[in-house]
Amino acid sequence: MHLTIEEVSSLLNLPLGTVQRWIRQGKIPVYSFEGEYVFLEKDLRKWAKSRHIVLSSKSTGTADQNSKQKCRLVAALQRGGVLRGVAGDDISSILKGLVESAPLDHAIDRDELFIRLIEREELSTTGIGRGIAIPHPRSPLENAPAEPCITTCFLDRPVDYGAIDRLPVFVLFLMLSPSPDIHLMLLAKLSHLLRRPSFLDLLKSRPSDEKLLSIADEMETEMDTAHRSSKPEDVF
Amino acid sequence: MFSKSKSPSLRFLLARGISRIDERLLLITIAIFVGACGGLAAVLLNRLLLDIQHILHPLRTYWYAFVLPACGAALSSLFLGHVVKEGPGHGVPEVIYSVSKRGGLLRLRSSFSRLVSSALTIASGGSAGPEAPVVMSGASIGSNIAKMFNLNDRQRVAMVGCGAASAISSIFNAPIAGIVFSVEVILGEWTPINLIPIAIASVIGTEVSRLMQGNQIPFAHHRFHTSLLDIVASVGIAILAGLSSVLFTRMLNKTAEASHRLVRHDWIRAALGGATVGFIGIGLPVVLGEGYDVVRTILENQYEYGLVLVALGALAKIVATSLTIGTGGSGGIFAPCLVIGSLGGLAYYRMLDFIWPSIPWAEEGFFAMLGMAGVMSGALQAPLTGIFLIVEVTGSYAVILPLILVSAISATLCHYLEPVSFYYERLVSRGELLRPRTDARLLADLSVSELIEKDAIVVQEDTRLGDMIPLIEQASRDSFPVEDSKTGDFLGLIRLDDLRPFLFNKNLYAAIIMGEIMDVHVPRVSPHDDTKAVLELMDHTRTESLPVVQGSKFLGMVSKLTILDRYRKELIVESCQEV
Repeated sequence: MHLTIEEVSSLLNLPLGTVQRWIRQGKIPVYSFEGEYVFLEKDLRKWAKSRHIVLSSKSTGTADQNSKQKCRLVAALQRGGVLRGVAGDDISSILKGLVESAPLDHAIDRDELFIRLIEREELSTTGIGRGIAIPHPRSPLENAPAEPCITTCFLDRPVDYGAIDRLPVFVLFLMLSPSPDIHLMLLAKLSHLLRRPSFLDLLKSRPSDEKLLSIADEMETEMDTAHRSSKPEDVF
Repeated sequence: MFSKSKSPSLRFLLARGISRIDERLLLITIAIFVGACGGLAAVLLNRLLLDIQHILHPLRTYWYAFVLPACGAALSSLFLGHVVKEGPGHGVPEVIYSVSKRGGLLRLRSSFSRLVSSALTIASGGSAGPEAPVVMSGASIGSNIAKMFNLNDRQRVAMVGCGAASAISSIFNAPIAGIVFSVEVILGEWTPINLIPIAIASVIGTEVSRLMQGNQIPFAHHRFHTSLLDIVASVGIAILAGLSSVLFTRMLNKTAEASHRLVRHDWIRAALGGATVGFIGIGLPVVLGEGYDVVRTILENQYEYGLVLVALGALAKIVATSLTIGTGGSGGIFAPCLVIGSLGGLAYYRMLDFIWPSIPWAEEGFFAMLGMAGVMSGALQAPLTGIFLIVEVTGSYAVILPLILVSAISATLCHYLEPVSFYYERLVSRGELLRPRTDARLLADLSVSELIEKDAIVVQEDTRLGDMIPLIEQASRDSFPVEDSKTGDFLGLIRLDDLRPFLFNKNLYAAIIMGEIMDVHVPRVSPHDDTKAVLELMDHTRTESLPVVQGSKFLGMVSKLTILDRYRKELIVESCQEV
């Protein structure tokens, strides 16, 4: 298998300039062919092994892409669907209604999920303030589906949820993730969105499913690409 | 690219075939060529010297003979400066510089330029040796053959070593001295990868010389009869040789400095130096030329002059060599070392004989030989080269014990008094002597542009503290460079530590802007700075990372953590053999 100098520089996690210098100085096995440098993967691996140099697996790049795709908030929101008209006067009745009507995977035991959610609420509230709650089990369910999902649930009447700011909750996001790191990644993204005044206003207006998803999509894309140039809007 | 085509082309298979030949085999094959060419260069210079000396010999008897060295030195300087456009000097530091800094690259014209210039200098009577020019010539031949075969830096350096080894082996008919000189002085490392080709080149170089000039020991003599007392006395000659080497080294450096200050034109300076040597030569003809005849006579116990004249001769040789080489004549210090050593040794013998006439000392040739080994080891600070060269050129393995003793003591004494040898003096003063696998070598390889990290998040000077929160959330580093929002110029640096006291005070989120609290005095690094200087700067300022700025634009950060990681990787790949 042949490798180009760019591929080798990413395998070694070194800048191109360093690999070019190593070639010039004869520190790395390489063949020169028609003015281009070609590496043989077998030789390179042997060389790296004899010097205890770690070649970061070539697939990390794509795996990273995959997990990013997996962790797309909008995809999770889409899978979880949006519920309206769940009624109840306390945490328990609301969660009961939510678990029963949410479009969940067949493999999930809804009674078990309900018990786990209540357990988590007893530990400490998931009402994060400003009328929002993010109920979730403390650890992933045994037979959780591979793809995370978040069910959005608008309540008819705001309910006292024991939230940290004592404000009644009007929207819940039920989060089910296959693993803790995916859960954390989604939680970070969701809380980032929820901190934005514009998104909070959108939720208060009880938007249609399509509008909610499209705006969330927009904001997530912006968040992913946001780097040096972005001027973030005001946050609390 | 070929990988897309269904079957690799024949040319690719061939190219891969050539490069798949075991590296050692390839280097050994090329070393044979290099050795033969290096050997030929040495024979050529030898013949050239003999012929010119033969032509000039009748002129020596005239009163104006002192002009000869002046003409030779001036012509040699003009030739180097204007015809081939190379710097003056004898060549060995240039070869070491090239091995240190340029991956062994040498110009093709260096393969003959020093041969011509040194032939002019030495044959006309200048006090210098033909070995250094031959080393340069051999090294350049090695370098250019390596270039022809598209070898990489490491392999090219080995070929430079082969060239140097074959040159020394050929000119002295001394294969071991060639190998040892090349490894000890030129390359500074022993590895199986370069040692074997060097040995092969040395053998080939010696064989070429033997085929063309016959197999003879340059300074043959009869067997010495030594006693234990002679070995004790050899400590004295070691100290004397060490001191003479230091005097010689200092005199060479001082003459070069002073003459460059006094006379600006290269060829006039060389001519004046040559004329002075000519004058000295009228009184003491022993100083003229490379002086091998003198060495030969002394070793055969046939040198008749007394203590004072011999000691004076040694001193005069030191002065004359300094004048020849220091003023810009072309030639090396190998041969002068031998002459100074043999004269010094003889003087020491005469003194011993004068003080304790009743003790049956070994012959004068014995002490002369120890003197040669001592001065050689001392001036070059290469004891192994000194030992093996003397053993081989005199064919006297029987006296190796006092030889080792003298070489070791003299080299140690010189190292103590004058830590840097004549060859390395200029390189060390400019920080250009980079031996393999040393700290300086590794840091010189790592340039700031290779170490730069570009993932810092840049903020504007008018960014408020509140706006920093999401950036801190995203950032993978804890330094934030600040840029002018209009010009994009780098203004200063914010570190997370600077923000920490305010970070949890929401009242200040709008009140603090980055332009107010950034560190404007943070030291800036240029992409062209030496990594060594950058590390020193970090130590001085007690920082772990510094911004890299070119002109007024921010390029990235450089951190100690990355430097350590890369430094280690460099160290790992420097080891050329499989472990």
